[in-house]
Amino acid sequence: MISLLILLPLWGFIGLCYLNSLPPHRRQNPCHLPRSTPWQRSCYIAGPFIALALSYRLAGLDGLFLWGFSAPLMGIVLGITLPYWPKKHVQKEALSDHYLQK
Amino acid sequence: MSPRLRTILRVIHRWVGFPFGVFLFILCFTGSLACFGPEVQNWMQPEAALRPSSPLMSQTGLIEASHQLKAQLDKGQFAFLKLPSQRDPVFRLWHYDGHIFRGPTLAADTGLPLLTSDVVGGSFFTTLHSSLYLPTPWGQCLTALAGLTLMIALISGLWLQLRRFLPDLLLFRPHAARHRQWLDLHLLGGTLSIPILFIVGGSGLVLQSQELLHFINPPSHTARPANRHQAHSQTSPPISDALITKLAQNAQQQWGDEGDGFFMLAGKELALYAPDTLHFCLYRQAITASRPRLPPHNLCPTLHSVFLGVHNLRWAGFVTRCLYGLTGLLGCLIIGSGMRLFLQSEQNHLCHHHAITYSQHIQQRLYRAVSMATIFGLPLATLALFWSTRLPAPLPPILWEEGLFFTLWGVSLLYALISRHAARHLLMMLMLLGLGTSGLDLATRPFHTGRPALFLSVDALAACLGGACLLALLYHPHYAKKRAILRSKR
Repeated sequence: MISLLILLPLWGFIGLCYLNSLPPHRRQNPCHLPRSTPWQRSCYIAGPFIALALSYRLAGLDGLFLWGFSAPLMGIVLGITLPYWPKKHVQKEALSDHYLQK
Repeated sequence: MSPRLRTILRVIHRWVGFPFGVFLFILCFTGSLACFGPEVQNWMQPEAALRPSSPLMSQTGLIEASHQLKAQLDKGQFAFLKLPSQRDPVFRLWHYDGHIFRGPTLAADTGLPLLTSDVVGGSFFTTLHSSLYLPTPWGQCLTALAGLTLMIALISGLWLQLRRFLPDLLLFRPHAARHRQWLDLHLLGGTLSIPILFIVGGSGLVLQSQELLHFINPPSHTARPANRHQAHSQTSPPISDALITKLAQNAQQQWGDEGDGFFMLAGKELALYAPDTLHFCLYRQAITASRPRLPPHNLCPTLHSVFLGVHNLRWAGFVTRCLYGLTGLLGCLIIGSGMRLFLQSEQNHLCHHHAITYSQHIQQRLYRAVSMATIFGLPLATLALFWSTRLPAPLPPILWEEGLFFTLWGVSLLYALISRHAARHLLMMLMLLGLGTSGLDLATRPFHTGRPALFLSVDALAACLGGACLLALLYHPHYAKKRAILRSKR
């Protein structure tokens, strides 16, 4: 249970970092993190491996399966709920991205 | 990707996915329920849902239960005695009737029969999952074929989505057109769970193929537990109290207080089999009077045992099993959305024709009926099965429960064939049964029970299903139109 409680927010964070790394025209789902940085990018690339090692350390073989099952569930929850989050931030963020690109 | 290849892949994905999607939906749904076999059994038999005691069974209970086992064996019935566990804290004196495991339930402390009615239990869903309740080998053939088509559908779907796999990984647009919403949902679920679907589907396919190979070319050895369902010799082996106690003590030394093992005849002597939850790799190990210790444990002796461990997950903890069950339901969502997309695209295709022929009309109606009977009819029949285990049965209980399940499922198909409003009516029935399950549960079991969380979870799941149907009905075009008319009148 503890592994799951650690894994779910971790997958959520990885998902948000991933969304943030997408170019604005691809980013249909709003995301409230600050603008993408190399640090965030390395987070979403290294995150799954860290989560895998952590879950194996905490729950052994059970942890590996927990890692595998929790990823799609958290992804779907993020994918479905994010479009309903308030849009205010997103517009601002998209605008700032657009401005910075120019 | 060339347009030609894309068209070929789309045709393969659609025409392999839709017909076999029906079977895959059944497999995912029943697989999710089969993960919780003992819990389902306890919900159906509330008298047996007792609080697990510590230790799980008493010496008196074990001796008395072994006497009952001996009596069954003397009668010539090939029974086995399942020991109490945390998940199912009673003795089960079960035999296999060709489809399910059934038999009396005995109290863990006294070993005396509990006043429970015979129910189909959790093994009903396991059988439906493994062989679709069809005779051997047809059921196995069909499920193996469904597994193969799952692989084809996954590969073709992945290939189609490969270019947009990473950029659109979490893409869902709820404010887009209805068809786009369903496509996004299908892709969101499909792409995120593709590794799990490959592993679970692939392991299931390998297991069924191995079963089929065993059927075609049976193994030569005969004194193995594999042929436990065959009739045994008329003379039952001596089962003394001393032997039972010694085997139980040996088992406790070797695999602790895990419980969940079972006593069964192996050849000419009584054996105590280790619980399935003991190791990742599932293979039957037993101790007998002549072989009191388990053989040294190889990590995974056969490839078959590895696949069993991956597919059945009996060794896994409660949370992992819950997530496994949820993943099965996610599979249902992916397949259901795929069927919805197929129907929509077929309808769009027909809209381009000036005149629709009668055969095209019938074909379209058949697709719709099959989809409805699968997506709504199967959960409806399942809920009805749950209800039937708690209500008085006009026929022998198991016959009545099985009959009701398959009749209701068949009727939902027929109704979907003849009525245009079938979806709405099936949703209504699902909603009523789902939301009413809690009431039925409270009315037909003692209020104070040893495992309130179990009943609460099953009732909550049924209520969620009912709630989802209520929401679907509220947003159904029929009611949406009525609401719009009312609003315009105001």
